[in-house]
Amino acid sequence: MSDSEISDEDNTENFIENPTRELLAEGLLSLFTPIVENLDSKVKQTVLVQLNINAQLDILSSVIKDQINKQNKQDTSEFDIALRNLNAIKSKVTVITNVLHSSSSSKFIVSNIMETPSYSHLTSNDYNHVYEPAEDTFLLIDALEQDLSSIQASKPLLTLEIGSGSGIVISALAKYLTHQTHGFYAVDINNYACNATKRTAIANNVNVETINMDMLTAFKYNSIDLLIFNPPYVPTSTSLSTCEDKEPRATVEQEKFYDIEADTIFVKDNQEKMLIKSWAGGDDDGCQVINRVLGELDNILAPNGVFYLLLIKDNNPEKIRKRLKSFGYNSIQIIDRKIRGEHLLVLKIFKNLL
Amino acid sequence: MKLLTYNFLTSKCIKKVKVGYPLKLNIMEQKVESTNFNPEFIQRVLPRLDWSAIKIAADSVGCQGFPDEINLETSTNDTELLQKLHHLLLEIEVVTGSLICPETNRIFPITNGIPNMLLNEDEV
Repeated sequence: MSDSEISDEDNTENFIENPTRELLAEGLLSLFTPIVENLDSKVKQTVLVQLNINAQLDILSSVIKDQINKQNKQDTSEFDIALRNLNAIKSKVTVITNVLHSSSSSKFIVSNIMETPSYSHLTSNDYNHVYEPAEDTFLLIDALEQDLSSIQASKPLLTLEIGSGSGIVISALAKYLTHQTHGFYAVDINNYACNATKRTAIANNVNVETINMDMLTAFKYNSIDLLIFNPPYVPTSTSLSTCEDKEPRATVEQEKFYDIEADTIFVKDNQEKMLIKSWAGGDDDGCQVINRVLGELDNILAPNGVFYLLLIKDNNPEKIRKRLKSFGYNSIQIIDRKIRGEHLLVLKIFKNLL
Repeated sequence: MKLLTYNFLTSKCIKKVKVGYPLKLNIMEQKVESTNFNPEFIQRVLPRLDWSAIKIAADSVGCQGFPDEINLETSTNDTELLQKLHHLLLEIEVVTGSLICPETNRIFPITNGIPNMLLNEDEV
């Protein structure tokens, strides 16, 4: 897609590519956090003071009522006015208290945001071998963040990401759930990606068990409670495999889909194959790798397991959902986003109604 | 690789391998990283442990006092056992070593804490 084709709507998303975005966000967050926390404690103090005033006013008004009764309605007009004033003040205080209460709860929402893990330790050299976090990565993190309360309630014992790449998605989740569970796993067919995942986990003070593996071929069946997959979803003009067997082996020959950069980085070595594998989804709507996982889902998931799958509209999500339904899985689209010609979405897939 | 992970790995993906479990475990370099004891996690993971693998893991690192068989009902309240399991499964990191298929003796190397379970095309 050329620049001229980018609509205004798409253009607004371009800031995501800005490398200083994370830095800015971090800076802003560190600026805001102490202020918000300070504000929060002030708000709490004020709420207490307001409640105190309210109680005092209650006492005062009852005292006045007594006085009125005692005076047998003599000279009551003055007291009536005072009483009315006091009641007006009291209702104002109640309104302010309510406002303060609601601002307290907005503070709670602010503090419930899932932090993007730090990945500044990864360099451009790493990204010659490993898929660099991009819009799809952040959409998947946003989807998990949005579903965090249901994830926490389901208490996953083993959480595993297939094709973890840089490792920021699984580290984001591990950062949030680490006090609850220890079972965070990442598998990637690319050894370089495994190392990057491990480094990202360490940089974020979490443990993510990383295994260099093709899908879950060496993992015990029915062990995964929470499965996450940002697959290679880009439809390509030819099959990923030139072999007879179904397994994509990345024996990618000079493909049309790779023309733009073919002159510089045509598949020369294994690492370049690996980088292609991180995004090329094959000719079946880009679903060659996705279909492999779907076919194995019954063996992968533990009973009541849940699967978060990122897709692009070109993958034909409705067809995928029908296929899932045919072997007993429900699915809902929990988030979607249009970014520069790509319409990304995340499906939540599960067997039982939650 | 923590030893909890060892409990979940098999070599069933190799052509003609019937069970591929438990794998043999060869540790060249290990380290201990202490983590907070979360009894609930160990209790919940207990039914997913294969005791034959746990015994191999415990023997490999010299952790003693594990029963020959596990009784899920009594073990879940056995704090001493839960603590031992916590140490064995979550605190011992295998940095370098290998996992070996019990049927074919195919070696899967562990480097930098990462097991390499990849197979060549002619092995699957």
